Amino acid sequence: MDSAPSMRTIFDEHARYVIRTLRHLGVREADVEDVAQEVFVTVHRKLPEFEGRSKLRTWLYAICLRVASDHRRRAYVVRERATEEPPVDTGARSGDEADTTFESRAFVQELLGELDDDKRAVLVLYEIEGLTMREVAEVVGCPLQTAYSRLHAARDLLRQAWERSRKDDA
Amino acid sequence: MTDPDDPSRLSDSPAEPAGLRESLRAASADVGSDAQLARLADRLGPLLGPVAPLAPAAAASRALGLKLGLAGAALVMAGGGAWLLASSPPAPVPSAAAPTQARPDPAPGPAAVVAPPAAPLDPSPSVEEPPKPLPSAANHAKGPAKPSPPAAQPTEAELLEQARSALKADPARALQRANEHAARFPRGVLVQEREVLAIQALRRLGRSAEAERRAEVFAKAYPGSAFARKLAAPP
Repeated sequence: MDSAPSMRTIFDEHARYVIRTLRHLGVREADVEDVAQEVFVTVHRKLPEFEGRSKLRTWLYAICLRVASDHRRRAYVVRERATEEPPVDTGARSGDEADTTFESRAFVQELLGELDDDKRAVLVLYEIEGLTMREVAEVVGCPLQTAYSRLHAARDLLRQAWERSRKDDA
Repeated sequence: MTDPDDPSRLSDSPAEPAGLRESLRAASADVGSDAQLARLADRLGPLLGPVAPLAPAAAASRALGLKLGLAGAALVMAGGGAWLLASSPPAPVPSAAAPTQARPDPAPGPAAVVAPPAAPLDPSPSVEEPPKPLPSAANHAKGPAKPSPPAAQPTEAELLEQARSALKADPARALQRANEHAARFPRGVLVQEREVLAIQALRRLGRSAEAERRAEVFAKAYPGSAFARKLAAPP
């Protein structure tokens, strides 16, 4: 690696992906900024250890995964699930386009909510974040074949959830 | 990012329902809002260093970055060095707190990664300069309950930047700032950074026994921390 990137560079180039990923990993909208802050504090602490053996972005995803997982395990999150969720701040455009986009994104989060953490992580990283399966396996820390199995299972569950939602709407 | 061995993504696969494909594409296209990024940049404060030209974050974080630019290169994270452990010469201490949002310590909770320290990490009452009471508590003990303006108090990151800036020239002030952080943000997100600064200040003040005790507690509380390894390394 030529030189370690500055925190400012990392933030400017990746903060949007960090926030998006946290949302898709099941962090509630009300908590996204708190959890993103934890991600960047962790990045700040671990940056001296980043040796460039993995891509910066996959390294960041791995941190997101750990922080989001820790966050979800906290009891108070479970206790507060019944509280009202604020609207997703996605920067969507105004008008019909915004409504459609908002609904689509909210719908994806609803579908993802039916997956367990392992399958959800693989699906989010591959289908939404566009990583290769090798990168996905590296981020989640499992063998490539295991990542493929999780993707296959996650896709099946996603399709089933989709079908159910269509029937409910009908 | 593509790999020829990977399966087609659902959003690109005509066999999948159109609505599902569209929803996944919308999820991939979500880039958040500038306002949200600006709020996050404000919270992170000096950890981010100066704002780069044409950075996408909005005006609030840009203004903060310009202010921080006065503190010089010591804040810059380039080269992978953590600002709290940087060996650069001390930068001038900012004379006033920035009018950014003060983030009072949240109620028990959001800090698994930066878990609250065990009791020994809290500043000892015997420390020379005890933490100042919160202005809001001191000023309004007998008066009507009126919230003090957030701009009056430095944020977590600003307090620690003041401590870091003072470390070499005035370690007593650095310790005082760290202790103030401990009093105001006992469960803040920068607990590790604060403890590192406090330990370094104690060492500079010649209070080795206290410093080593605190370093030992730190190492136990955060065994995997890069800071713990650096604190343990010979000077």
